Amino acid sequence: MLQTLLDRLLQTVVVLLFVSVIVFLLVRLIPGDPVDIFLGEATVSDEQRAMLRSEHGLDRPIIVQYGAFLAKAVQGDLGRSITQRVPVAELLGPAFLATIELVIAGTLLSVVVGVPIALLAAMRHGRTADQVTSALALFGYSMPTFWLGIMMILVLSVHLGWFPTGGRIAMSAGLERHTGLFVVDAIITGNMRALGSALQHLVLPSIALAAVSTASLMQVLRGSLISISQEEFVSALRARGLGRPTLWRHMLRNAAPPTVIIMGVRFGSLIGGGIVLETVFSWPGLGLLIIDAIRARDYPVVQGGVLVMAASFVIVSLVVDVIHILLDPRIRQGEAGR
Amino acid sequence: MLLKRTVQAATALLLATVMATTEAAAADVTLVVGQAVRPTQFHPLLAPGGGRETRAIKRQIFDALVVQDDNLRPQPQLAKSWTIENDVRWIFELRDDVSFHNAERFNAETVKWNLERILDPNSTAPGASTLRTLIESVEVTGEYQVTVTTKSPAPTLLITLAFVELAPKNLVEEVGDEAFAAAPIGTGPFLFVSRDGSTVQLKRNDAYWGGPAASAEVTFTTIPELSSRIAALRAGEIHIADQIPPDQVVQLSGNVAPATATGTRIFFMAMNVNEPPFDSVAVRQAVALAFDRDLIAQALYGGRARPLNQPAFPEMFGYQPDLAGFRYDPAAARAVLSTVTAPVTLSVRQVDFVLAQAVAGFLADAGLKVELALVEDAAFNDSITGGRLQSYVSSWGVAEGDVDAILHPHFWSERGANRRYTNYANPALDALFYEGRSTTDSARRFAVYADALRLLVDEAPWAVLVNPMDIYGVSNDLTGWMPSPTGMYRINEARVGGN
Repeated sequence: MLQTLLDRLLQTVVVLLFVSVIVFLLVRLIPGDPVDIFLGEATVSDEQRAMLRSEHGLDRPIIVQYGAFLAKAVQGDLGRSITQRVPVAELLGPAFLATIELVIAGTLLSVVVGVPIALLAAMRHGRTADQVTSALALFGYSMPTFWLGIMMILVLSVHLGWFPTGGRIAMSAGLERHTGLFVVDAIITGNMRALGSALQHLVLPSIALAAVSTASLMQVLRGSLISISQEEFVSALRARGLGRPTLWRHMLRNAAPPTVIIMGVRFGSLIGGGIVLETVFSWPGLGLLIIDAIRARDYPVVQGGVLVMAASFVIVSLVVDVIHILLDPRIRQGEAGR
Repeated sequence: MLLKRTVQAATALLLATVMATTEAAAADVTLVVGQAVRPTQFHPLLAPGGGRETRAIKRQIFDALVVQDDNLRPQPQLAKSWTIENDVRWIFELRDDVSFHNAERFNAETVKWNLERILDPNSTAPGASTLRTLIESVEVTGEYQVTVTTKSPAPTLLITLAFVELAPKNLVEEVGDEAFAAAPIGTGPFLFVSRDGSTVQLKRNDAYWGGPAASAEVTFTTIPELSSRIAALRAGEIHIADQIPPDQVVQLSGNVAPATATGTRIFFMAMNVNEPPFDSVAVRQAVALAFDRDLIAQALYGGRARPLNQPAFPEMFGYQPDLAGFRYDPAAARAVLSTVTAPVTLSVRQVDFVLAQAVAGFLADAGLKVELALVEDAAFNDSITGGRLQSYVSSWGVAEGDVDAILHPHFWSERGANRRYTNYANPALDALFYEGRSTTDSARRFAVYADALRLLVDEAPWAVLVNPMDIYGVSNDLTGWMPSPTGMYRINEARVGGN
């Protein structure tokens, strides 16, 4: 177990180093210059342009720029945003937490909705309930997040006025920030108004986000439950006269590992993949920040943002592996026997 | 047991949500502006100065010596009045009743310090390179009087100063630039409160020299996605939404309405004079004849655009009402363009794609084979400034309201390696630019630009198309607000729910 962890940590470092090189090069290889872009239509002399480039270190050879970036990055300094002139960490921190809050909410929602439905479908395998839920899953899977988001905004926000159209919290809620997860902050400061506002803002984006993950969760869990139900140990349990709830508990326990892996991978990819969702709901997360930074060729923000995304993906999959080991005694025993 | 607890918790949450909604409706009178583009930073002496969206916020916090009116002409702001001696000495009389939000006094010393920081060769402030070519020296000639001496007669000095917001000298020197950028302090009608990502909160400056604004709080927020911006407006979460395309105006009904202002953006098709077939003047002229500009303005912009026959619109200084200019003559265009056999590439960014399709359509009608190339924004910018595109559709904002501001950056032959565009250069035009920039005699300047515009219409490196209006979505709850052609939100008199 410990060995696995150490191996994975080493892998993480290698992956991050690799990602940093790729991002650093790619963002500089695509055409478009940050100085030119932020100057826009301003009348600026060539000398002033050169001055701005050197102010941001863009006139040095790429390898030197990368060295400087890496030397600072290992100390936790990701540089300063070219467009907003604040340390990149100050931009990434809140944006990262905004994304995490949304992804957690969406994942929780898909577990709460997906697990019972998958159970139902597996129990009624081949019957109407199963067919209906499978069709629903296909629907959730194939609906573009963008379209679903806009439709929910139009119906539930604009026409019915139940939920805000976007953003993370009402400014007037006066929330004190501690952890950066607004729901948590509202609870620890006892600010009910902020809690209400934060939850209200979370509803629509979480549903849009959960639509796809619920569908994949349902399908994987249903599939594993059905195949497990045909295994010998289930027949043996049945023969011993075990009641249905106990029987299903045993089956769920066996179906958990693949489901956890699917959800974990999904969780990790959502941290970096929510760009469309965050744009539709003006959710001030990592995706929105990075897409803005790419348009502006704000190199330090793009680099830092992609590194954070990569790091979280790697860490999440590490956590998933650990959970997998804990859940599946076969792997644990295999480890011990090695 | 567990179920019961869950139901209880859910009910509590729901109740909290409902309570929050009702409470918010009662207490929320903050005026909220939803912009499409995220602002950069607000320190007037640092780059980047940011585009219109950033300036619109900056202008609530800061004032300048002069401010543009709705005809884009400079009017007094922190300078009460000015006189010109010997064509080069500008004597500005300043307001004597102005303080910064931190109580630091505004006076002649403030102006001198700000301008000298911009004139410093190491400054990268917006407007620095222009001001350096214009200003010789800045002197304090009274507590509330500043004298600016220009290197030669400088007709564009005033309008340039309208883009130079003034920062408090003592505070900036004390806290440093980066700290000041994080918490900017000016003399404007609103105070900077906080910035959270792309949301900027401001509150009223009760001691504003021009009288306090009607709204106690103003928030600028960024909603990049158009449909989300319109939805937020219709749901009453924002009161002004910017950048509404003409084809979305139909969505603005019921509790919201469109509001338009004369736009300052000029759209054109640019042709690279170094590349065939556009190295031929006859071909360029024929291209310029191929467009039914009235139809473009009607069909593409629903009439919310003016067809242009020259690279200027009527509010601009130098616009020539009597110039024949570009016209529509499909037969004459066809006679030339149908002889061009090789297809041409017309590049465009996503935002202008529909216009480019129309342009390509007219050219195809005239017998020219056109291939449209969609290019990502930053890459497009890189290619046009490098002068590498055969032809492209683009636009230029002329917030300065002066012909010089669009012609000089595009056609002055020494515009530099970063402004190659069409690669067009002409010594005769250079001479006119020089003359236009070195006289404060308006009649003389007007005559100079008549010659320059005629020359550019004849040589046709650009086929100028239209000047669209700026369209905003406005909530019916908002009173006292009209958009301005300057793009700066004059929200001093605007408030939510007041009648």
